[in-house]
Order: sequence, then C-alpha cells, then structure tokens
Amino acid sequence: MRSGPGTSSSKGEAVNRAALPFLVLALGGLVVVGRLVQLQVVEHRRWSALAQAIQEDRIEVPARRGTIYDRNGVPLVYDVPAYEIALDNTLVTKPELLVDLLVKELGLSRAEARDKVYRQAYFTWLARGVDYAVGKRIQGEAKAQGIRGLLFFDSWKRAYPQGPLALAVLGVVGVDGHGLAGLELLFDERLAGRPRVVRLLRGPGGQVYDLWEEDPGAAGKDLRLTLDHRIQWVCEREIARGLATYPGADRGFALVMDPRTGEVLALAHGPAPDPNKPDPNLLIPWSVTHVFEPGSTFKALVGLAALDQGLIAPDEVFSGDSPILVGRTPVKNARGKSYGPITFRRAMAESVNTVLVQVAQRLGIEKTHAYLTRMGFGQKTGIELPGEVAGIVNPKEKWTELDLAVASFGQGVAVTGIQLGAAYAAMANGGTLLRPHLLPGPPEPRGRIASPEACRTMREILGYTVNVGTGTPAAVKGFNVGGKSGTAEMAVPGRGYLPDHVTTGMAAFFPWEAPEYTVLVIYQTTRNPEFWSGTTAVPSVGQIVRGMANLGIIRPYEPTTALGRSG
Amino acid sequence: MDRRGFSRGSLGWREAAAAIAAGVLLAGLVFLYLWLGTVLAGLRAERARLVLALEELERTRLELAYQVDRAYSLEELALRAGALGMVPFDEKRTRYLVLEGGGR
Repeated sequence: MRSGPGTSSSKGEAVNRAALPFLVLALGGLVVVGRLVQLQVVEHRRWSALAQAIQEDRIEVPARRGTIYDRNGVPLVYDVPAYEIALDNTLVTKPELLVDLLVKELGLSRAEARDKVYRQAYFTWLARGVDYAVGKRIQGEAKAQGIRGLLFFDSWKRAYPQGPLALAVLGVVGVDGHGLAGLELLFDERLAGRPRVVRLLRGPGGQVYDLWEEDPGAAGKDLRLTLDHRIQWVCEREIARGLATYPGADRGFALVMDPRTGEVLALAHGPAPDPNKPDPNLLIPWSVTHVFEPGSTFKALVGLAALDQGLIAPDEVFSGDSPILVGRTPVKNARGKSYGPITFRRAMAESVNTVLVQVAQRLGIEKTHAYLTRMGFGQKTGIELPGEVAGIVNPKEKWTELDLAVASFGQGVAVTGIQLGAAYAAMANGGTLLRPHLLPGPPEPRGRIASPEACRTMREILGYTVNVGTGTPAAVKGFNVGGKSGTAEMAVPGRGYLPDHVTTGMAAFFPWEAPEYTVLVIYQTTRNPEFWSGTTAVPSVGQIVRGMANLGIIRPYEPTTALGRSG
Repeated sequence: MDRRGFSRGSLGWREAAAAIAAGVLLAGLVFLYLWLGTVLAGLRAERARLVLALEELERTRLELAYQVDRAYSLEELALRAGALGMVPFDEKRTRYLVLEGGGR
C-alpha cells in the first residue's frame, strides 16, 4: 500500500532522496569555499600581486617646477606641458609611415629616424621635451594612420613667456628637470617639487577603470624676484642694439638698481642666448662672475674718498698737465692732452687722469686702500647668483706709489660689475653700502662708504659731468642724470695691455639730487682700438633712461618745456 | 495521530516557505550587492576618465595661457606696434610740465 502524503514513511523517503544531492552540493560548495579560501586568503599576496601587475599601472607624473616672477608678478619662466616620446620597437606597425611622421614633426633626418624605428630594442627614446601641440599632432596622426608602438609620457618643459629675458640670470634646466645655471641652479631644490605617483586600474583593452593617488607629490615653489621685466627688457634691447651698432662690440651688460634698497631691477647680458638652444657661454652672468678694470668710472669713487676726508674741494684748482711723473714713470691723460690749471669739478667732467693722481696722492695708499675695501671691492657682494667672484684689490703692503696713481683712474684693480654698481648705489643713497639682491627683502647695509655730504657733492659733480663733460650723451632732458664714464684697455695674460682689447663703461644715477635709480653699462671689445665709452656705454645709459620713460616707468623730475613750472 | 501528523506536515511547509523566502532574500541581497558593485565600478571608471580628461584640459589650459602670455610680452607688443608704424617718443618733440603737488 502506497503511503499517502504527510505520512512518516514518505517524508523519510523524501529526506533520503534529498540527502544525497544536498551532500553532493554541500561538498561541492565546501570545495569551492576551500578553493576560495586558498586563493583569497592563503595565496592572497601572490595572486593580488599578479593581478596588480596585469591590471595596474604605476605612473610617476613629474612635478610642475615653480614659476619665477618679476617684482610685478609677471612670469618670466614657468613650466608648460610637454611630451616625452619613445618607441616600443617590437610593437611598431607601418614603420615607413612612422619614419615620415618623425621626419615631419620632430625634424629628424630620414637616416636618424630610420635608425630609431628599425632598431632592435624594446624601448627607444625618440624625443624629450616635445612641444605640447607637436605631441598632440603626432598622437593624432599616428592614430589616423594606424601606426602603433609609440609611447607618450606627460612631462613639462621650461617656457619663457617674455622671450629670452634675463636668461643669464634665470639660468636653464636640463632634460632631467634640474637647474644647470643661474637662479634655476641656485634655487633648484625649492623650485623642483616632488613627483606625483598615480595608480591606474586598466581593463584588457587599456581602458581606465579606476585611478587613485599613491603620493600626491608637491608642485615646486615659486620664486619672486626684484627684477622689473619692463626695465629688464629696455636694458636687453639697448645692449642688443649696442652690440649690433658699435663697431667691434663683443659683449655687454646693463645693471639697474634701486640705490635706496639694493634691489636689482635689471641685469641684462648680451648677446642674449636662445632659450631653446642656449649657448653655455652666453648663460654666464659675467657681470658677477668676471672682472674687469673699471677705468675712469673709478675716479668718482677715489674723488668721493678725498671729499669725505676733506682733502679736496670741488672748485679747487689742480694742474691738468700731462704727463705727470710718478717716481720715474710718466702718467698721461687720455690722448696725451694737457689741460693746464683746472678745477676738480672740471677735471672730473673732462676725465683728467693727472688730476686724479694728485688726489690719490693726497689720500695716500693707506686711506685709498681702506676706502676701496669699505666700498666692497675685493669682496663678494653676496648677490644670489652662482659663481660670484671677489675681484682683485692687492693687499696694501704690496701697493707702490705707481699702483696708487693708476688705481685713481681704475687701473691695477679688477672689479665685477655688481661691485661697481653697488658702490655707485651707495654714493647715490648717501653713503650706505647695501647688499645687491635679486630676491625681495629688507635692505641689508654692509657699512658706510662716505658721509652724506661728500656723496651729495660728488653726485652734483657727476651731474655736471653729464651736463657739460664727457657724459653728455647720457643726458636726457628732465631726468637730471649724473654719472661717470670710463675706457680701459684690457690686460691679457702674457701679452700685457692690448690696444684693441677695451672695456668701456658708464656708471650713472638719476635724478642726481636724490637718486631713485643707478644704471651701469659696460661693453667689451677684443678687436677695435677705437672703442670709446663716449660713443658706446654713455649713449646706452641715455637710451636706457629714455626707454624707461617710454614705458612710463619714470617721469621727468624737471619741466622740459619753456612754459616752466605750472600750478 | 493524524492531527499530530498534519501539524508536523504544516510545520514542514512553513519551514520550506521560510527557506525559500530566505533564499530569495539572500539572492536579492546578492543581486543588490553585485548590482551596486557594478554601478560603483562604472562610476569609478567614469570618475577616472573625468579626472584624466580634467588633467588633459588643465594641460591644454596651461599651454594656451603660455601662448597668451607670449602674445602680450613686451617683445611681441613692440613688434606689433612697430608694424603699425608706432615709434617711441622723441624727447625733442615731447614737453613736460611739473605741476605743483608732485604731478607731472
């Protein structure tokens, strides 16, 4: 008899029938769970690493290097996006099309491009620091033409929105992203930053499924300078014009400082390097790293020392005859000219060597040497540029009367441009020698070089020099420029002074009554014996003042109209 | 006896119903988990795509900013002004008055 539903025997059978598959399923489940435990717990590390290697990309994105700004917040150099392009030679398709593309877009020669494309390698660098637009074009064309095997890495490259402005000061950065010269080298750590590390989870087709930052990195810190890009541009333009115009001019620089603070407003070197292919020789800020004999620009400083000591008066009369004997050595004026009796003021205006020899003789070796040291010569100024040199001022024990005599017109001593600029800035501000600086900060006094009264007297004499003397090409109506020019032959080791190796210079300030700017312009030639400051550096100072007025940076200090003062 | 048997039988159905309900609930939860996981993965992929697109846009912006800065540099302005026939002021043809109060 068949048991009806709900009876104990039928239920027992049902349980029996279900028990077997249940047991099989349970065992199967147990096996699956066991395998899962093995894969996900016991062997977790191994399989996770394998999956990570297949699915994840670890990308190191270079940090964006800090921007360098001028004093007004105008960027002088910053990083712009770029590409580094490489090739996986094993994956290349359509190699001839790729060669054509590389020749067209990267400017490689056909032979060079073929060498790279047909190389037996897994990885070949094609180009680094490729412009963003060019990289995008290559990416687009490769995709359109079905070329495979190219690898694109995001990177940065330095860009100069103001052109090659102040490049010798800023310096450059190498392909590894580190500074090689100038401020880029000196402040490399600050500007560089730390790269960002990103992980990407990719699908089999390369599509990104997830992205997370392993290390957020840190962008490089910015740098703000005391330079004014407008004054810098005026100076660079003028130096470039001078080098193109003045026969034989090989190189030059212009320095503009605020004498009240020691801030360097412009430091232009010429010839200017090309920022894309910089010539290492043109990246040297030689106004800081090289010395020259200052010539007659030094007369104002020796005269200032004598005025400070009360040893001379502006209208005191000296003999301007040439030559003058120092020991047995005759010392001459330029072109051997004799001036007869002449006041100190006029002697400065006419740049009479023999008068300054007499002034230096009154000061004596001890005091002259002490003043030159006090003015910062023979010592580094501490400006924030690599490679600064101290200049050459021999120990006073080694000085002879002849050394004293020639030092009075800037021979036998070697100075850097920045030292000379700083000394004139001290005269301009009333006698306080300040550290010249490129990074903003409070003025840093280094000592006093002379009394405010002596400084004012010498400034008045130099205003006269520009109005009626050798400095007239620097005069700009309404701006009251004062200054002193100088021309000096250069000594070449083993050959002595060569007549066609000449340094010309003009150190100036304006308005001479209470200067707001000091300007120093220096040119050098190695091939023109008729290279004079009056036709090179002096007019350049005038052009720089005009250029600053053109851009509205300065306005006249005196009315320039016959209508006179108006109220 | 029948009464006891019936009561045992109805208890079995209830258990079965409860097991089915628990199974359905579990399946629902698993489905919900998987569905949400899929949605989440999709959103993560979308987020990653947007982050990368944003970074590319930022790079494009920086490139364009450079081109604008370059176009407004003094060097470029001087070239364009020169092309338009403009020349720097000539002090021989320019006169200044110094006004009282420091104005010029």
